[in-house]
Amino acid sequence: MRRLFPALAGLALVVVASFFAFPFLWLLLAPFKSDPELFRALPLLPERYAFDHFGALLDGRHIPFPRQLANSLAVASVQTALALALCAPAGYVFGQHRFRGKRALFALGVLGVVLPQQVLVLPLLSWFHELGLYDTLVAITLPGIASGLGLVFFTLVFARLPRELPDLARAEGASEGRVFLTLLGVVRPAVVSFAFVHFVLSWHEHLVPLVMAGSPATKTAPVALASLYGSTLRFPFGLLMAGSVLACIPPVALFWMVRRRFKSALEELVS
Amino acid sequence: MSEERRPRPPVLLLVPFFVALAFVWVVPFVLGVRMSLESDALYGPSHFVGLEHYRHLAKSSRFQTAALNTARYAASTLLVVIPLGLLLAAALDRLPPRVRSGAAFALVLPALVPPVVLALLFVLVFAGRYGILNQALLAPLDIGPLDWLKDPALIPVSLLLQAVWRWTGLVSLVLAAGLAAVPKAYVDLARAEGATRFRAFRDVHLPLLRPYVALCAALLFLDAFTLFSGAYVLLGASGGTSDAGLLLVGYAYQTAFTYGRFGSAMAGTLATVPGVLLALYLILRFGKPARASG
Amino acid sequence: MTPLLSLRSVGKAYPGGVVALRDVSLDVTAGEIVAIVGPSGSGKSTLLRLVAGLDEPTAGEIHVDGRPAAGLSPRERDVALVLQSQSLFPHMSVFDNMAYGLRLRGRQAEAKALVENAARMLGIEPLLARWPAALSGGERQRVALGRALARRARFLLLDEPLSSLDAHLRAGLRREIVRVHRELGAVTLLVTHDQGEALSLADRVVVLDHGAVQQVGPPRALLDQPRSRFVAGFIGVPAMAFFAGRVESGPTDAEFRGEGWVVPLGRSGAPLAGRPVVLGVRPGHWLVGGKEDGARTDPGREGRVEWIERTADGTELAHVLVGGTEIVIAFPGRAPEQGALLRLSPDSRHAFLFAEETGERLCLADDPASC
Repeated sequence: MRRLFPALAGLALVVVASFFAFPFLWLLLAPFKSDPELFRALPLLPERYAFDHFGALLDGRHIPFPRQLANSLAVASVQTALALALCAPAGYVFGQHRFRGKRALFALGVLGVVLPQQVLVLPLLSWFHELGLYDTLVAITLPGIASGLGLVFFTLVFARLPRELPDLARAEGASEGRVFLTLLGVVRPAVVSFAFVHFVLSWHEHLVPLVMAGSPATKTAPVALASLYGSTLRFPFGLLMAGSVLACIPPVALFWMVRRRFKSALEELVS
Repeated sequence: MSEERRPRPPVLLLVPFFVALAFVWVVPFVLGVRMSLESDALYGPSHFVGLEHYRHLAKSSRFQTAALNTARYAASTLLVVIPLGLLLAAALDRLPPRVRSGAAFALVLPALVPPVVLALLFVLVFAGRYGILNQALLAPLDIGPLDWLKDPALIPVSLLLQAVWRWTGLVSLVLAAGLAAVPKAYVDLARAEGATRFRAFRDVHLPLLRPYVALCAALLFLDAFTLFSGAYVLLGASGGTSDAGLLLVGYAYQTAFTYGRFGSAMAGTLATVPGVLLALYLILRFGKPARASG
Repeated sequence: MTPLLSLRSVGKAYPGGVVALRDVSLDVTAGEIVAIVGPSGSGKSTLLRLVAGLDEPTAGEIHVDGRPAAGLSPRERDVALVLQSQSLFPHMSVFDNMAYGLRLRGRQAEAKALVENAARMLGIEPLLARWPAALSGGERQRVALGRALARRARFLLLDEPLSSLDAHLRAGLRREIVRVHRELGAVTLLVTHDQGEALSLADRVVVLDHGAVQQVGPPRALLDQPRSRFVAGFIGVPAMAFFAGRVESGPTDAEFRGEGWVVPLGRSGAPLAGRPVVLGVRPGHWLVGGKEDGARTDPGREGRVEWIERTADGTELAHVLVGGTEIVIAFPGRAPEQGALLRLSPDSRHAFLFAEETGERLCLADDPASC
């Protein structure tokens, strides 16, 4: 029985791996297939490798897809940068200082986790409409910047730093702001990890951009793809798949770039 | 008593966050509460109706369906993804380091795919007669074409499978990190006391994994609670046959944009908040059991 | 009496070529405390793990109570482990920690009584309901000992149990270790880097270096009859001083000459003439005379006291500079003042000779005690 175990485990692993890998494979090959081909499980490989669908999307003849990709990029980048700028300093104060009302204030910041932007999308719509921000990228970007998750994360990260570190900086004559910037360098892997996670979450966001964008030129890539699917069946499914592949590239590419920092941050957080 | 001279907390570093919070959260929250207490109109005049919408919710079968569906979806996700992730994590532990890095990369990939893309992909997989799942897996086994996206019994399964595909890898990585964090000394101790390897895993690793499990549970729960793309793309704004795929966010979206009843939609959303808080509290308690320190 | 634990040429090698232990043979009878000492990496903890059954030897055999231990789980060997810092499960109460092994063996019913008894004996009854995080280091180690006591384990295996404790707590815990050991009549193996601890607690001491046994014997034997230069230099604080040189045969007697020292060896040294050797002298085995004492037969060498080191027990150690080398000399009472000039010579009756090449101690024929 004991000897069977590794064999069974290996088999199970292969099954599991296929379950995870197959859809990816399918996704990568799908843009090249014609509609009838797409709805056939086998053969796996497409008949011809034509980039027609990619071309149709990228030259904007159906929808302004390049623009929409750019929108996603802009929204995700700006939102991440802002979230970092807001949450990291706040996390430093919560993690390394004590003061009256700290608990209450922290609880307020964390409420955003329980009531994320999706939940408040309706009043946000009304509020931004009143401010004249409807159908702008600003309206899509703003809701996600006060990240409760970011606050919790950075508070934990800074709390784990030994007290001696900021004291050392203070002894050298640094102001609190300077101390913060110094410590930021110490926790760089955590900063990179958070930026990565937030970027991906922002890139994925569907509901808020859907509600806030009125015209195709303002939509983000995921929203554009969804509405392309929902609109009518005029478009070949392969077109959607081409867009899907394009929409997957930035998060994956980003992960590839940060994988080492991310891994070390995870290990640090764990120890 | 320690004489700690702490420098005054740099309030200036807190200000940006809380100003932004006020702008994008507090104000919308207040507006949202007001919205739930007023008659249904997004633009234009509305008048105060008090708890009318909330009362209506109690009688609304649609709302209750949505709430129940979401609860069931969250529970099934937790009950499937976490044990699967644990098994994968235990397996990951046994892999040689080189393979492990490659595996880790592959495991994160599903979570990087935008939910919309995943949903579109699963349209192909779950489609009625010609879906990949039906063709590749079930037809050879002679199981008749299942209507994944139309059959109310199967819709929850489709949603669950999406969640499993998306999250299991990431959960397994978190749990693997947790397993690696268990000091080997405790395992030695357990074995010296007479535990078998399996028993040691149960008595040492599992209890010490609680915080990690709680973290995954919290994230999965929140994701389930805010799930929109998965259901919306697969089933359309309607929520599928007999609302089997109607989740809370979908309910709110539908009520607001299809029926134009914003006040009701907001009430529906806010009414679920206590439930979410309770669930998160329970998860937190599970992750950090209060130990009498005497 | 048959030994309860028997190791025969036990070795442990890891893939990649690292040899942690080689050719270790040892017999231990019930009721013995054996200390295992050696520098870091000498294989002490590995040896303990092999005895515990947490690892299997790659060479040689281990026998427990006459039976081969290969394949016997720790449970079947009936061992109790006390580690340096992680000795209690953090997620179980003190009571549950102590009862864990009993529960695993299905002795649920008696667990309560056994645990309470053990706790009473060690004075830790009030701690039973508490959690490890709330205990001090000393309390935790007591609980770990109590766990062994409650289970009446046959083997008590301790890996640096006192190293993490404050110095003043160690004496008390040492007493507890001996008490528990006696109460159990167990075989106790104590791994430690603290020689004082080893020499004061153990019936026998095993000295390991790079995985090999250098010497096994009662503490006295290690101090007075070290078998090798390594043991002589490792055991005993402050350490022995070594001088390289040769044995020269004079007209009547042989003598040691090296590094400026001349030490008479008597007729018994003659067979060793011509060999390169190392002379070893302990800090307490120096003959000291004042500068005025020039009338002695052996004038010795002159040295100057550079500084005085006072130890915790009142001994004074003089660091003396002789011909450019610093020598530490122990004075039971007051040492000469700093700056004083002394005449020193090694006490040849207590000096040791070691072969230069092998480090092995060389016997002097007419000194029966030296071998």
